[in-house]
Amino acid sequence: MSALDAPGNALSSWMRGDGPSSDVVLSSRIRLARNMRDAPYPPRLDRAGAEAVVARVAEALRGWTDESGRPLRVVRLDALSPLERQVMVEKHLTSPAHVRQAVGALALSEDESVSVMILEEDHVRIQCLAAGLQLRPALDRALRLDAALAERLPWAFDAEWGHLTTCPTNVGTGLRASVMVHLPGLAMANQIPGVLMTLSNNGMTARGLYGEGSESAGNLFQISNAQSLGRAEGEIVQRMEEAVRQLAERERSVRERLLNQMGEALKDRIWRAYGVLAHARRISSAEAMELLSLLRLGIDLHILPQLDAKVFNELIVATRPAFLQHLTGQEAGPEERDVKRASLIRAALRRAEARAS
Amino acid sequence: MCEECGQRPATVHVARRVNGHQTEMHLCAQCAMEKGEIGPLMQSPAWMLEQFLAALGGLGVGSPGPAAGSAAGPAAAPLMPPGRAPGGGRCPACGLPFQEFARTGMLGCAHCYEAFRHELGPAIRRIHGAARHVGHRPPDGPAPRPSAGDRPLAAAPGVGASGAAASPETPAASAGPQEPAAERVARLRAELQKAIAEERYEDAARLRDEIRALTKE
Repeated sequence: MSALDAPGNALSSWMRGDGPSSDVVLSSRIRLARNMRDAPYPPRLDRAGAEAVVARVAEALRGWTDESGRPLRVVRLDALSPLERQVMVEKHLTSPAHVRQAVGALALSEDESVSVMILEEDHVRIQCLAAGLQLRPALDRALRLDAALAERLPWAFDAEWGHLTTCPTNVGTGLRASVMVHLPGLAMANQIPGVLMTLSNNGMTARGLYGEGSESAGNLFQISNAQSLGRAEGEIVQRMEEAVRQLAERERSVRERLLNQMGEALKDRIWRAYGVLAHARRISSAEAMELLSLLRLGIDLHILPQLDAKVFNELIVATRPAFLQHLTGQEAGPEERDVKRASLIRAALRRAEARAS
Repeated sequence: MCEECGQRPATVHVARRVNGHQTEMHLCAQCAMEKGEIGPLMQSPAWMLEQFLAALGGLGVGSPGPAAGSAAGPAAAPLMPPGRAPGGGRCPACGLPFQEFARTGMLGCAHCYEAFRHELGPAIRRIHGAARHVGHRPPDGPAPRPSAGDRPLAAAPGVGASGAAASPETPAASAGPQEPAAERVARLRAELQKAIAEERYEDAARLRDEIRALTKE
């Protein structure tokens, strides 16, 4: 359990609900893919080779500290239980593909805003997370760690194609910049398809968070750059920030319009969502996400003045199946989980109201 | 009119060949999205990989195209003689067979890029819309090549063999006349990056527009 925060802490610092444009943009993420030129790539590594890569990267990370002077902690994947691994995925600290690897490790900063996946699809994937729309600061942090590693590890780099990644879809910068956005207004106004098309036409991709394909739970979407070659890191990030700022503007104006047009009807939906969340005794993950999205909209529109945005961010992670099991400390069945989820939500709402009063 | 909802105009036309016969659907954007035909799947990592494999296949060097879901095994008509010299059969460093790469899209080591450079080039260009890295480089990374007429391997003698098995339009030929523009764009992009780094946003905007105009052609 050494790698995880104190039980009950669903919130990494980068998910506290603040940061620029946090009424629409929950978090920003930067990922840099890197490989060593003198070792086979993960798909062709045998066990001994994989162990050697983990050891080299862990050694290279030694001594590196984040801005507050704290080092990264390296945890081997096989030191984590399957449940703990799933929790790491739900907290976005690593990926489903990574925790499936037989040999691998994860390096984490204390505040969980910097992580390094060792032996995911690539030898190294540096990941930096930040609250709200803060791609640029996250990029700077990731590049700082990359520069430190580049002095100790022989990155595979080509004059023409830049960083040579395992999959050629990531060559060049090896950069994937993503933001997690909450779009309840655009969803209610049936404008999501149009938004996704516009993003797609501008070299960006959007997908539902936690959902597969076009499905989205809780009106949460992840937007990322599609191409990694041919544009400098700063330009990729700047273009995305511009596009996301425009998107946030559009979401805000739709919310205002909905409030003007629907008035009491919208308020009623939001208060009903609050009512169910505050009192239900059993709730599924899907229903919880749907109602939490309305709750968050109510907070942003000042319809629910007794709550803050933090409670939403906390609950979308805390009500995921694995995190819930991690909290309850037992392998619960679906029905038990629904009971546990409802009680956890009630308690969180009570705490949030106590904070506000 | 959309076949799914019957309410909105059909703007998306999906043609698909299933077990030898052609099916067609005409959908509105919303229903197409809901059915997973367009939208979030466009430009997603999985979609990019599919495009990449299609581009490789389209060059006639890969397995017979990534017909979605069809498990075209290694036995399925490789156009390339097995064990062909560098640029072809296997990566000399890690032993990855090109056929395996054409199926998975995953390379086996850094040297695979050199071994398969000729096949990779057009496919990389197709999915990224660019052929040249701009941005950070590691301290020991090789500097950008001075001139643009430098498509390595493609121009080298002896590699005609790798094109021989492929379609007659060798990808290298089409790149020729555009080289000066490509070079100019690369330089502008470098300047743009510098401008952004130095927070000269007005210059950056001007450079961006200039690049956009050049790449629109």
